[in-house]
Amino acid sequence: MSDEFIIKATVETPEVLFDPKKGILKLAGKSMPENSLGFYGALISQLDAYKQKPQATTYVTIAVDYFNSGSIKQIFKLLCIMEELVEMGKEVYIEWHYKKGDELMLSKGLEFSNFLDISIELKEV
Amino acid sequence: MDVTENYNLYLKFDEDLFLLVYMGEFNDNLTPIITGINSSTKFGEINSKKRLTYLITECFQNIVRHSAKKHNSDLISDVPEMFVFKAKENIQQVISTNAIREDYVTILRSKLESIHNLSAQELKNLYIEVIKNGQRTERGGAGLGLIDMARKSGMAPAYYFDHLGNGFSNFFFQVNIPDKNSTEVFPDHVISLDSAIELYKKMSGQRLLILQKGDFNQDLILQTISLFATNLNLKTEQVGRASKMIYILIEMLQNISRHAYVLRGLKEGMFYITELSDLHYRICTCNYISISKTEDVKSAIDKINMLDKIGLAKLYKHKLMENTGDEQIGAGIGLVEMRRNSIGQINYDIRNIDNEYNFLALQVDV
Repeated sequence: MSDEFIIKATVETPEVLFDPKKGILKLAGKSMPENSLGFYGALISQLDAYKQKPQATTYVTIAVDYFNSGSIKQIFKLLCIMEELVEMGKEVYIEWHYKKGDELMLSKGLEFSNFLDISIELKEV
Repeated sequence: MDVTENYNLYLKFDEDLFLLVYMGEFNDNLTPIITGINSSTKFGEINSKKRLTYLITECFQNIVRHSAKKHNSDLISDVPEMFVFKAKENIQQVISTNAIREDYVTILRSKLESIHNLSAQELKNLYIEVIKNGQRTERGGAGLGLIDMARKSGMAPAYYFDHLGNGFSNFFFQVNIPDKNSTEVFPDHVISLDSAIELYKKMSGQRLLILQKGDFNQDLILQTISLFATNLNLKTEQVGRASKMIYILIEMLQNISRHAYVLRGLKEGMFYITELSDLHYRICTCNYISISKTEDVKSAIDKINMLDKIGLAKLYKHKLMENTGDEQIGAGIGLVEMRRNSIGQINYDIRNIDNEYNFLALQVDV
C-alpha cells in the first residue's frame, strides 16, 4: 500500500492529507484553482487505486470554505468513490464541516448527501 | 446600472490598461491587498514597482488616516472615499479622494502649492530641510509625505477641493508616475484630475464598491477576491451571505480568465460590484468573447434563465455527474450556480464589435 499523499495548502488550494494505511482523507482550506481537474486529478487517481484494496473503514473530512464550481465537481467525484466503497461493503464516515452561518457550504453538504447513497455528517465548526 | 450601459462604461476606460477603483471600507488591513494587486499586474517597469508600491501605500493610508469620515461619519455618511490605481501607456496614476474639514483646506492647499512648481533638486532640498527642522503639523505629519510623493512620482501631483457644505470638502489628490524612460508629453486629459472627478461622481451615485479592469490572471483574481472578502468581513459577520457572494464572484472572474478573447495580448475584462441595499450587491463582468463561443454562452444562459428552482437543481445534478472531458477549463456548472445562488435571472448584453469577436456583459444580483 502506498504512503501518505500530502499537499500543503496554498492561497488557492486546500491542504490534502490522504493516508491509505489508516484510511484517512482530509481536505481543508480554500479551493479555487483555475484548473480543478489538474489539482484533484492526482488525488482521485490515488483514491481509485485505494478502492482496489481499501481499509475496512475510511474516514473522510471535508473542511473547505471558499471554493469554485470546478472544485465542487471534483469533491463530488471523490465522494462518488466513497459511495463505491460502501457498495463494496466497507464502512465510510464522512464529516462535512461548515462555519456557523455558512449557508452555502451547508447546502452543498446537504445536496451531496441527497445525491449520493451515502451518509454525510454535517458538522458546524 | 442597467446591463446595457456597460459597453459605454467599458469604452470610457479604453486608455486604461489596468484600472482599480475602490470605494469600500478603508482600513490598514487592506493595504497589503491593494499593493498585492499592483504586484499581480503586468504593467509598469519592473524597477518602478517598488516606487509604485510606496505611492500606492501612501495614498491609501492617507485616506485611512486623514479622512474626516472617520470622526464625522454621521455628518458625511453619504460621501464615500475613493482610491484609484490605473496604468496607461507609459504612465501610471494613483488617486485618493476623501472628505476633509473645511478649515484644513487652506493649510493643505498652501502646502500643495508650495511644492507644485519645484524642480527635482528643489524637492530634494525641501525634503532634507523638513527632515532637519521637523515642521510638524497638528495632524502628526511633517509634510514629508507630500514632498516625498512628489519626488518619487517625478511629476507634480494634481489636486482639487470640492466644497461639500456642512463644514467639509472632498479632497481629490492624484499622483502621476510616468515611466522613467518616457519622454512623452502627456496631454491634459491624461494627467488632469477631471476624469477622476467625473468617475467619482458617477460611481458614488451607483454605490460602487470595487471596479477593476485589466488582464484577469489567476494571481490578480485571488487578490481581488481577498479585497472583497476582507471588505465584507470588515462590514459584516454574516458568513452565509459573504460566502455566497464570494462563490459567485470567483465564478465570474474565472470566466473572464478562461473565456475572454485575447486583445492587445491580454485576456482583458472588467468587473464591478455595486451595493443595491445593505448586503445586497450587483456583480457585473464584461469582456470580449470570440463570435464562435458567443452562441453557446447565449443559449446556455437563455436555457438556465427559463428554469425554475427544481429545474435548476436537476440540471445542476446532471452537470455534476456528467463527464465532459473538458473539466480543465471549468466544470460546466458555473452558470447554473450563478443563477441558483443569485436573485432573479442572469442578465446579459451582447454587442457585435467586428467579424471575430463580440462584447459580453453579465450581471447578477446577490
